[in-house]
Amino acid sequence: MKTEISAGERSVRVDHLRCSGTAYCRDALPQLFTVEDKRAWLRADYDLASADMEVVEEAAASCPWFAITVDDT
Amino acid sequence: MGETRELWSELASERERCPVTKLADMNATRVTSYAGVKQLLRDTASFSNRFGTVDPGDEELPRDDQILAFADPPRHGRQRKLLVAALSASRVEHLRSSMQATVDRLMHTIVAGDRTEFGLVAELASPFPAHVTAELMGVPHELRDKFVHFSHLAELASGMPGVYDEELREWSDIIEELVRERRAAGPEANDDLITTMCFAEVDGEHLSEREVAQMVVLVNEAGNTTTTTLITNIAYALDEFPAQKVLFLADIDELVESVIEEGLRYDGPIQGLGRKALCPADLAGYHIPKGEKVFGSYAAANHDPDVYDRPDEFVVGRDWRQTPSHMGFGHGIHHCLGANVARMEAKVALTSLYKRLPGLRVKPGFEPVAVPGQIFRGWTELQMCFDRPGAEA
Repeated sequence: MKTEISAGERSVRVDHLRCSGTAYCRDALPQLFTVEDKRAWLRADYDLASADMEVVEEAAASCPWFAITVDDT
Repeated sequence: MGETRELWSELASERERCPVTKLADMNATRVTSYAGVKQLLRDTASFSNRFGTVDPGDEELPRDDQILAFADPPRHGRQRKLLVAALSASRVEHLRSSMQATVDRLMHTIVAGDRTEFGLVAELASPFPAHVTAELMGVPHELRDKFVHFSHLAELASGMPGVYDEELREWSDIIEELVRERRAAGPEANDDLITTMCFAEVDGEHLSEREVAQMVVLVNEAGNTTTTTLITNIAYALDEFPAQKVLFLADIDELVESVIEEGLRYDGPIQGLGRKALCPADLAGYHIPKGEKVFGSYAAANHDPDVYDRPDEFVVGRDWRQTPSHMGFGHGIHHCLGANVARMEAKVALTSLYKRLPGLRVKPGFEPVAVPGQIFRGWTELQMCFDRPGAEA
């Protein structure tokens, strides 16, 4: 469980100062997100390199606390 | 204690008949299934907040009034981003000690002399969140009582539209004056939510004074009476389910957080809110015409037997890590901004009350009166009693 994972130019980050544990990210993409101790975490075994980034970005956008940042440049 | 159960069974039979039901009001529909309410709240492209949510009107609200809960994307996201950092779960931790101090002060009066009863709403559940909000906003001490008074009007006004317009306008003026003062004082002069809002940039522009004032009104209305009701409804529910109360009292520290989540599910402060269909849409397999007012019943969603085991029972030990999240704070991008503040307020209040007042219970024979209106669900007062000796401030 991590708060940041990356693969090449891609990265996903969860900001625990903002995360308030709604678990919407986990509901949207349980392969990547998990919730423990009322905070969202990233699964270390997620294959970000071959992920559909549109799906990742949609899950990130579901966060009402804007706690998830996705970079894909 | 029949009144609450009656609502659950009414909503249950409506859900069974049809979870998307046309109401007597010609252009309104009510959604009563968990899945349906979730879809309503997620599909912000079809279902709008900017016509109002208590009773969505025919026209969009004036631009300056399209604030947070009354705004749609992308405007909503820009506004909300300004506030999330100040109200996140980690950030509200710093309010804990001042919350405890406020509760301690209120409880001092509750146990004074040889008292054995008190009004839960008037003496704790109402003044407490109002003081917390005032502190968060940086409201000057001399205005706090007025602030507390005005915050109640929202609840009353929702049941009696028009009656309190003049007082609500006066309140609005006071807040606009406060906002002007903070803006004049500059970004460094104060560390409070009003200052944060005054100087936050949205796409390179500041919010107008009117927009900030509207946000203050909204945060206050949305944050105070709701928390009052959350605390009060939990006290009521614990007495409805004595066996659950025994479990709670045996391990308050361990169970208080799940009791609060269960309170939000079982009998949350907001029964439901409305949206306006911007286009013809499909909702849980039913056709919704353009212009329709669609009310999502949070109360019904929270009692959906497809989602919750023993839905009409107050169960203190539900494992919320394994249970789908309740709709007590709504769902989706408008998820209650004050959720973290409210959770902490409820935790501080309930822990202090039930640890320090032995035998705390609704006064036998007391008949509570429901708050009027279709939106709020709570009691105007809940007279409580407790045993002496053993009571501590």
